[in-house]
Amino acid sequence: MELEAAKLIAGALVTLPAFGAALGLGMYFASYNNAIARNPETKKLLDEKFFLILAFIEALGIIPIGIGAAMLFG
Amino acid sequence: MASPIHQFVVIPLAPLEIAGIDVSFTNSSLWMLISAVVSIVFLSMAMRRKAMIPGRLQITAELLYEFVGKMVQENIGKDGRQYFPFIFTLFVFILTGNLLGLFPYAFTYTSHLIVTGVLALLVFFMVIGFGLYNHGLKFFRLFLPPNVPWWLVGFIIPIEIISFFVRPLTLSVRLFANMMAGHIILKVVVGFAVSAASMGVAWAALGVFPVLINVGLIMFELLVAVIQAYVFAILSCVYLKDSVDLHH
Repeated sequence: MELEAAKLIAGALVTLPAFGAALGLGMYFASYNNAIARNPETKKLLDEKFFLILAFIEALGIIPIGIGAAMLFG
Repeated sequence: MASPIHQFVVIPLAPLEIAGIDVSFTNSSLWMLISAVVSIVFLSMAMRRKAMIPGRLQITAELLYEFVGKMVQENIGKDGRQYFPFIFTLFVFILTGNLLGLFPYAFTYTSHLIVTGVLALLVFFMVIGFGLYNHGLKFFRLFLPPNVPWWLVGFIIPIEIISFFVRPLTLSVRLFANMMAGHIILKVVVGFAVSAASMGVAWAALGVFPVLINVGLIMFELLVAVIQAYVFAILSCVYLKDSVDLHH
């Protein structure tokens, strides 16, 4: 029973990095919009790496969720 | 409710053992084969007519080709043309694997670390192989960026070596974790609908909401499937650039 409780707690705790990823994504999009609003000519430059950086930030949130799910259901 | 992990189990469809090594044809192998066949059939059909004014299918194939071609050219440079067939194959293989995995009862072979790990190691060893072939032992200058102060050399070189060797790990885990986590979340949410349906009519009506959430999640997973294939391909290009141009 204690092991099950520990697994549930661990699985819940490991999803906490999603907060950081959500914050990071919000800040990233805000900076992107801000940069383009201030200087529309930089859109092409920013678009080149947009999805790459988005994927990096998103991966940091999804990887712990995957690990948590694996711990809970594995 | 079935375990969300169950969808990742590799099942041998045609058990086969050679010299004590299990080389069975599994559900993972089957979906890799399906992915290869789908890609070949799609690209063959799309480019069959080679019309000057392309139809929709030909435009799709040409867009895919130009997208990868542009990515290779921008990230590796003009010397990167030799890597285009590899990067294009890698991108299409991962993309079709990710997309086919979203179909019901399909198997997402990119949700297995062994598959993504092998692809990442392939890129890693290509970088080392081509790097040594193009530059010889000067390839190891990669671990000492230019204009580094002498008092930082002892600190920078170990960091550069670690960051180089950690590349296949991050490349493989990023794709594997995204695919695995996404499919687990899909299964868990739809499990709520199944559980609600099994509890009676009133609860079954509430089970519509998890299905609607799943519709949104499937759309998100479609985006993730494409983005992760793109990220894998573009990072492969960035790493391969090291074998072409040591310091950039």
